[in-house]
Amino acid sequence: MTTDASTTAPPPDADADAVDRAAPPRPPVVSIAVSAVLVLLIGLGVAWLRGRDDPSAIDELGSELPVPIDAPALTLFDTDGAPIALPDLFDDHVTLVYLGYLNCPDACPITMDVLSRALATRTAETRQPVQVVFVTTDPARDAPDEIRAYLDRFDASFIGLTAASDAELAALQDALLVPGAVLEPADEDGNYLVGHATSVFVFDDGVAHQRYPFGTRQSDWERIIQEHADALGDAAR
Amino acid sequence: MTLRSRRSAHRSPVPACVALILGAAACGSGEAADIDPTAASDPVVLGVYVGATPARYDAPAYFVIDQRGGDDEIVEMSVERVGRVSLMGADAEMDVTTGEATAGDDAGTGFPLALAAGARRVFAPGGDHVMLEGLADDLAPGETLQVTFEFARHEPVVAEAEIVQLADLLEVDMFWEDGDR
Repeated sequence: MTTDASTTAPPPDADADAVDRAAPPRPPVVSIAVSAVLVLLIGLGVAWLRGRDDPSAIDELGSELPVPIDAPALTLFDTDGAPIALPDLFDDHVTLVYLGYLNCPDACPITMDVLSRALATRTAETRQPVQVVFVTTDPARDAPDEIRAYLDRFDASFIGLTAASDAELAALQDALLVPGAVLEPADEDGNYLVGHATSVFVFDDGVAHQRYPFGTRQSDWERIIQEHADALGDAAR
Repeated sequence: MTLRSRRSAHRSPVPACVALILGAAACGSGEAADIDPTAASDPVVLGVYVGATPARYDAPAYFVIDQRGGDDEIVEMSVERVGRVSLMGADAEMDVTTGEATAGDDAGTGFPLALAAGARRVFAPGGDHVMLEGLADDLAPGETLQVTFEFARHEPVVAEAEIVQLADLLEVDMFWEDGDR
């Protein structure tokens, strides 16, 4: 857009000199305002471009944890029934941890789908150090084979874990500084609802610094995972 | 790694209300004080979306509805190819999602849903949502479903729901605050 009156197209029946002479002098305050707007627009554009390309902007997508969280010293069980020590599992990986349950129709499947699609954009090589761990908050209903089938719907590499007891599950939630999952009373059909945290915790080589809230989009996850993978690679060098 | 919080970077449902009280007053945005609550009901369904889901699982559905007339309430919803429809709530402020368990019956739970005069109700991912149980078959992206809203003071409204990939539900503009785009 131009704001220079001398470039305004003349009426069909007028010559250029007439237009220039006819143009009233622009009041200084208007010119200053126009200049200020242009400078502002340019500044916003530069800031947007820098923010888009600046990897540090990724950090702002998450919430910093009050303190770094080490991989909880707990042993859970995978969908084959094998014991899995979390510190060992998280070692040398970027691990995305989510607590949910299979009957959840909303946050759980959406989060799993977003993560699977974000990971699908990576090559086999860059995908390798990143793992997704789903821990059921409803172990009474979520049988290991059901968890496996549920996760396979999104990505067969996703790891499903079950705590050995309510106390172990509580210990995991305490370690992650999230409210404990709440199981509502069952109705006459035996159905019940489960309240649970919906953030994804990202552990870098066994230590989590931040969590990402529900609603983080696929494009943002692609950048988040890339940054955490880069940090993991830097630490290994 | 230096970490900071930027809440606006993720998708916060509109409104970000605590919704463990689905049957209570509307918590939508745009409530107009000059709407006569006794005026004729005039609900307008702005959009309905359903997450693509295999038949063996429960599917999520979301909608935005404006009540441009007086007070009303949704007394029931039905969705083709779905056995049971329930309205669920979430407490997003505490990073906890949970459900609303009201009088359970075959028609589903969570009804009636109050629609205050001049208010908007938003059922969005991570917030209030609709749970679809008993799917007749897989719900695939690109398909549509007929959704019928039944009201206490208005004729039923039939809307066409678009089935989308679950992750794409986070990209539906109408569910999110303007500042989040």
